[in-house]
Amino acid sequence: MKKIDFPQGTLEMLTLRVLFSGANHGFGIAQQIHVLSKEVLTVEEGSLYPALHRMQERGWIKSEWGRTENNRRAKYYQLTTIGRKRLGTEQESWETLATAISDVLGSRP
Amino acid sequence: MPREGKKDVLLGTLDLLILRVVSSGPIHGYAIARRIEQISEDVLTVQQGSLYPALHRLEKKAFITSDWQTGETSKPVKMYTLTVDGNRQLEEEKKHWQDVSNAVNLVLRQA
Amino acid sequence: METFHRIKNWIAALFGHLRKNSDLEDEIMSHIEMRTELNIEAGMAPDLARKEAMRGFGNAEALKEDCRDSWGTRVVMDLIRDIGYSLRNMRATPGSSILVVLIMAFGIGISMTMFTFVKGMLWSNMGFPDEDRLIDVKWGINLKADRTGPHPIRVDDYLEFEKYHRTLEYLVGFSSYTPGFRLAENSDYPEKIRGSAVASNFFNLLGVSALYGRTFGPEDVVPGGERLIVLSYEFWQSKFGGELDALNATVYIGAAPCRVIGVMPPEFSTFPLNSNYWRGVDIDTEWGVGQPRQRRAMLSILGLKKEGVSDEQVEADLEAIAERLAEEYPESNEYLRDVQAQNHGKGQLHGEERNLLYALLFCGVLVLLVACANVSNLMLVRAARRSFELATRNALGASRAHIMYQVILDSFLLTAIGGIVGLFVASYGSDYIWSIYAPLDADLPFWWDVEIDVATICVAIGAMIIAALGGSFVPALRGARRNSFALLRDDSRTSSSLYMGKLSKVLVGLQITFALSLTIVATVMVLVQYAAVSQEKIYDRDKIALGFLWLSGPLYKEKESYLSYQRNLRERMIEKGAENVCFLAAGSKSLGEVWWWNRFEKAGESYGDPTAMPEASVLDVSPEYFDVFGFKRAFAGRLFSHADTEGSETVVIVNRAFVETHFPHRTSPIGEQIRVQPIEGRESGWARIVGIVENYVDKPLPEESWSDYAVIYRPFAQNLVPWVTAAAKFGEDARPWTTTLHREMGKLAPDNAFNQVRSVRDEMAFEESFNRLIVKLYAFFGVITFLVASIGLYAVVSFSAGQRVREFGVRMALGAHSKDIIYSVAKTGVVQALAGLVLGVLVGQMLAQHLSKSMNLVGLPPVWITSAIAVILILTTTAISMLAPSVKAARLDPVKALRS
Repeated sequence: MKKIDFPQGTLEMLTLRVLFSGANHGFGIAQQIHVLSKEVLTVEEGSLYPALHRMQERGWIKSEWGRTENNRRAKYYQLTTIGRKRLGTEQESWETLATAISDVLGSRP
Repeated sequence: MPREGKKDVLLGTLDLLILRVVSSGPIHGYAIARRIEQISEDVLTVQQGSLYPALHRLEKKAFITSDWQTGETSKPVKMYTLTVDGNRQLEEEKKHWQDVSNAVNLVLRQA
Repeated sequence: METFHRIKNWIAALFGHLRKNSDLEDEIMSHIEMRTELNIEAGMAPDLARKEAMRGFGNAEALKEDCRDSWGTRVVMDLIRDIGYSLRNMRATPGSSILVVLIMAFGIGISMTMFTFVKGMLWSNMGFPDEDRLIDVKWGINLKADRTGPHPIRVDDYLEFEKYHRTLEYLVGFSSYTPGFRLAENSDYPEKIRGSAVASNFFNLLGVSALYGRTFGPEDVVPGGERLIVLSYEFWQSKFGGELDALNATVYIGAAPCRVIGVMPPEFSTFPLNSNYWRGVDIDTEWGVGQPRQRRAMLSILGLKKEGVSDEQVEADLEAIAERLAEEYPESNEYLRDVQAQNHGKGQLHGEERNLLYALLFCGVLVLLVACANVSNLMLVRAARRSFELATRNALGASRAHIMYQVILDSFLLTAIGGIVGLFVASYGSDYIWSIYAPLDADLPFWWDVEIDVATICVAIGAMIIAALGGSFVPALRGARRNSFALLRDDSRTSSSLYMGKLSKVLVGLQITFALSLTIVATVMVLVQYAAVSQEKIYDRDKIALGFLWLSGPLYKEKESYLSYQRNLRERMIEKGAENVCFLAAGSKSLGEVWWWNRFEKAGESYGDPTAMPEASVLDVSPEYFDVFGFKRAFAGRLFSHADTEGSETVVIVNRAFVETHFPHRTSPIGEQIRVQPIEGRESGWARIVGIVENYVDKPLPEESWSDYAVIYRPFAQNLVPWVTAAAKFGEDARPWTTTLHREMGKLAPDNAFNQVRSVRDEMAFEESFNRLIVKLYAFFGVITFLVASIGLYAVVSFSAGQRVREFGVRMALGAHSKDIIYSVAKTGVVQALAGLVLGVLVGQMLAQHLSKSMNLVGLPPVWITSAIAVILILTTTAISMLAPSVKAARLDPVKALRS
């Protein structure tokens, strides 16, 4: 399918949202987003991991090595308190933006 | 009010918004920017630095054409119009955007 | 909050950078594994599954970089890597690296030593909160113009100042003295301990309270009351063992009992000038009671200015009082109208001494400049050697800025290492110099201290930065030049264009300038020392011992007792083996030469005001003086005898310089009458000249004339004072006799402790210690700078010659003679070197002139001699350092050279 060009910042928001439902590793986060969006959205590893590290630097998420169900070692991320607050703000921004764009698109000539 | 969101989103969707505005009729660059701001109630602001490169890009791909016309102020001004290809592109991009925003909302609601 | 997290992560990242790296790798691996698994479940073949999984990561390195970037520690890691690279580079070029470090250490070490030393004297604060309001008060006829210096302030004048001043919060009189100090009434030899007798409001000056016990105030100091003293902290520690039972103890000062009532804190130290204790006195009732105004004891005055008052205002205030006194008491105060108020802390150095210190500082800067010029040249060499590597980097796309940064970092590291070494050198050096100088000066202000403190380190860092930049900026620019292709092709078939360019030659010239100036100054200093030392005196320095004392106490209340003391001492010393003993009324600083420089009148002449009167030195001597100090006989008339006493005619003897200066047209002024102006208030009447003696030096120093050596000798017996210098002549070196003299002097005046007894030579050494030290310093630094400059030059020329080896090979193969090669090498930079020479001579001479004026140096050798010597020195070493490499080059085997 056609490659989707993500608006900036959306990836972070989606990651936070996924982590809100529970801790997960990078691969799992990408999977979740892909599945939940009915396979419309594909997350590139090249964007995901830098984003994850960036968010960790800012203290939105924290990480810990753990084990998957298949007993494989994986680095798990989870939301911090700041991250939780951030999710709210990011979501708000997204709503406003999306509405604004829709207005422009749907407006009368 | 979104703090970081504005410019970022615009970069990805600027082409789309321009095509939509131009589709309403011949319009010059500055007015495009003003119209976007107007309709979105200033949520979306277009920087000059991004607008004209985008117009140039779209014109190169032949989605819009331009024409020098004498406006009300009797000073020549460049007016842009949508081409047939541009119209098609507009519909594609619109659908594209729809898909993306729906997908995002899906994730937001179901996760 | 977010910022906090960023910082926390940043610090953790700094420490865990490596760990994070491997962590990231693990994370990526784990992701790939999971994806591969998924692909296999979806039906892909295993290796395809893996390939697909890895493809998702695309450019893994870029991804890792992106992640690392977000860690924010990139900058520091890069810096560490660059430093590591620089260090490796240093290891690869040990020779020039060590040289740069050494030269920097030298430059910074020496300049910082100078700086610390000068700062300790010029810019140290006393450490008291109101110290900028604390002033010394002096007065005189015309303080600026008068060679005789400030006049003594006497008790009556002081009392007037104290009563009528308006611009001061406190005016305090005091006098430092060094009487015998005893812990108990009957302990034997009193120790000579310096203390101060102070007015009762002394401790108000600085407002510091006692550490233990209390200080005294006006209520405590009453006429006829108990004598109270306060101890300084150091004295309390050293003499009383820091025991609290010192409080309320009774001690004996000059045989009188005094009670200790307090100890001052350490920061009060020995204020004002090396007082170990302070005794409160009621100046009016205790000092010189019954004495006439102009003889009533002398004291010094300290004042605390009121807020916002300037020195000039204080001077005007006190001058008004002085004017009134001049009118009321014309015989004693007639011309004393000029008052000087000067900050106590700053006033410890005369203008001359200040200039001297500034000059020292300037020389320190010069030394640093020499080091910088040297290093700069060496950095050019290093950059040139790396030219190939740098050009490669440039071609591979390293930015210009980055290459410059590399070169500058290189320079900074070397400078930093050198600078740290230099600071250690400075620390030890300044301590060492101070330990030599400080004990020599009894009046050393207690707050002068030589130490490396924060300010010094900051200045040192500043110097290092400037040096590093100065040494590397242009080489860095050079190294980053764009035409790297030319450099890459450069294989020394042609001479390297990066080196021995104009810049390097200019640097050579600069080095020569600085080094030469310093050398000239050093030469001047050394020659002056030599001149001063070689001035012939008519007496033998080594065979005369001097002892100084101030007769006081119950035995010596009457003036006649002074004479009997002298008689007795002389008898006993001659019994012990001295050839002769005489006495002079002078401080130990007279050395039997000039002491008071005084005005006098000639009979039959009138003068408008005192400043119009002629001047000469005045020396009061016992009749044996002329024998002890080498005067063979009188040229005309007679010498003194014991018949010249207070009762007989007032007479004087003069020397030939005096006659030439003041009675130039008379063959013999014998019989003429002169009257010396009051010396410290002691008047003398008209005296008849009865004899003429020779001068005490064989020739005047070049800067002086005979008029500076005119002396009026007066009989001691006709001008009796309790302070006296005893001079004993021996048939051999006087040094072993000094203890004997000391002991005999003590036996006859048991309550008086007194100064060390020394031979004249030793006393002179003591006197001139400051000047000698400075001279030695200059000579030392001059020589070392010179050597360093030579080494630098050698290194630089060597390299240049080394670069051109192939060229020489070609030339020689084509038939050039070795002298052509030598000439070719030697002539690089000759123009700049010559310019450097000329500049160096000019600067050096200017500096030397300035210095000699500040130090009142006499015996300055003529300009052409010092310049010639210095120039010859420089030329010789320059020639050697430039020729040696060229000769080496000329000796090359042409075939080998071509092959290299």
